[in-house]
Amino acid sequence: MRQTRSFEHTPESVPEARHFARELARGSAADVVDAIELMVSELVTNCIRHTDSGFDLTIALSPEQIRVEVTDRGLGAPGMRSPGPSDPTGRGLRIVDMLATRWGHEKRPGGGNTVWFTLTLEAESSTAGAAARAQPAREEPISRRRTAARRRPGQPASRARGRTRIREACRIRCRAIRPPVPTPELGAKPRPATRGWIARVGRPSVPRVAGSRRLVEYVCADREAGPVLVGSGSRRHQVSRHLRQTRAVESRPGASWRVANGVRCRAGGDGAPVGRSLGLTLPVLPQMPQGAHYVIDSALARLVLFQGKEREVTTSPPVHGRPASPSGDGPQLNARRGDRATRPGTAVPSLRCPDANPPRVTSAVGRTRIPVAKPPSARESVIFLVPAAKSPAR
Amino acid sequence: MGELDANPAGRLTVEIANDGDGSAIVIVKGDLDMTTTEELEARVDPVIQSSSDRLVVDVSGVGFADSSAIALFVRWASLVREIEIREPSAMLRRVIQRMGLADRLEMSP
Repeated sequence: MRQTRSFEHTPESVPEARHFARELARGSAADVVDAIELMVSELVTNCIRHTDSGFDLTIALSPEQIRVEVTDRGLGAPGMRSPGPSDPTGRGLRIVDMLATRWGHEKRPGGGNTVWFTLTLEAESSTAGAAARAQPAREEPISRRRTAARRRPGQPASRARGRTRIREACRIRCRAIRPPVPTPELGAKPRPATRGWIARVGRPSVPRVAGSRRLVEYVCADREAGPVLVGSGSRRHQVSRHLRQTRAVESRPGASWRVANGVRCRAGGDGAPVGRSLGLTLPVLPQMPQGAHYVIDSALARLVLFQGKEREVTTSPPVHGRPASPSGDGPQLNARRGDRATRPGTAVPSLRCPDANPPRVTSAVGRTRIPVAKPPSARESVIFLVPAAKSPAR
Repeated sequence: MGELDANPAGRLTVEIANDGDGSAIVIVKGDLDMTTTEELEARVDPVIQSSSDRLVVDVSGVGFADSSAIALFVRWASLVREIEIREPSAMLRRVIQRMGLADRLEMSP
């Protein structure tokens, strides 16, 4: 069953659209109906708030899933934001991301966007309450374990397994990195944020992958103690807290610190951050110019985690302030745009493998195989998070 | 002090009361979305202006609440010393928790 209804660009369309969706989904379990109503409300509220035209709401019901599409004629593209706890707005698409089995958006050929989501309905009841209702199969509660729901019987849940592996890797890494985190000297004078070593927070040039989230990691390192994870976060308040912390650490006399940042794609479909405190450790090199920092190749929405010794790192030709190359397969070190480090002739080291035939390591998530500069050993590891779907090249 | 409207399905009603210890209690009924949160904000604003100590928002009678309601609660949380969301629906509770707002928006029970 598939039904479409058009709504005008007026706030009253929000409750009308909700009631329309609720009415169509009425036969489903109560939590499914509630989730659909809430997600429809979020999507159509966005249409009213961010466009100046009406919208079409399409609901397609099948025994396996419910698909909802909201099509507007607005110009902009919807994007998921990461509001902090004190930011009042910006949670609409986050709620959709949290509740939907899948969601996404597409540009319409004639202008406008279609934002859609699906909810997979569980084929068989797993709860006594649902069984007691003795409803047909399609009216049973939605699966909370979405990966399990999508999995074909007899096939391993490769994504779920990949996530587990990443989580395990994160735990190991965190244990290894956490102890040496120094207590920041709170009395230290904060430095102005214009200092070159402060990691950029977010990179607007990075194409957004539906469902991905940004995680910024801050790594301080000195030449004696090695790299130290200062913090990581995907939310603005975490980022600012860690920046404060980082400044305090950096201002210790005699220390030579570097800050690195990375961007991570979200592998989990359940909204839970995977490896929130994943430690990103990078070597500090003697030839590292003042102000240089690591940029993890995020154009493909992946995290590169690299821990190695200095001798395993060779120096590449100078990089003149380019952002991370999207074509690079391995971790790359680029100087920040406009930095002192980008002076012509200043060697900026790059994490490149001297081996002629680098071994291949399977990515932790997805089917893509990526050549890795060096095989992981006890002292170093390389982890790629790659979305199963190809990231859009726009 | 408070006011009650007729309450056809989803219609917003707001009742405001003070308990003895200086907390303001706002009893909300109906649906909370972008069409009703403005009205709710306008009704509660004077209460927050007069005493910004503790605000209890009783949402046991709220049948539906989306991110507009959460946005309003978060705004209120920055204006009062303490805020309590009383008896949220299972869905509202889940959303507040999963959005990482459980510390900021205290929920009871």
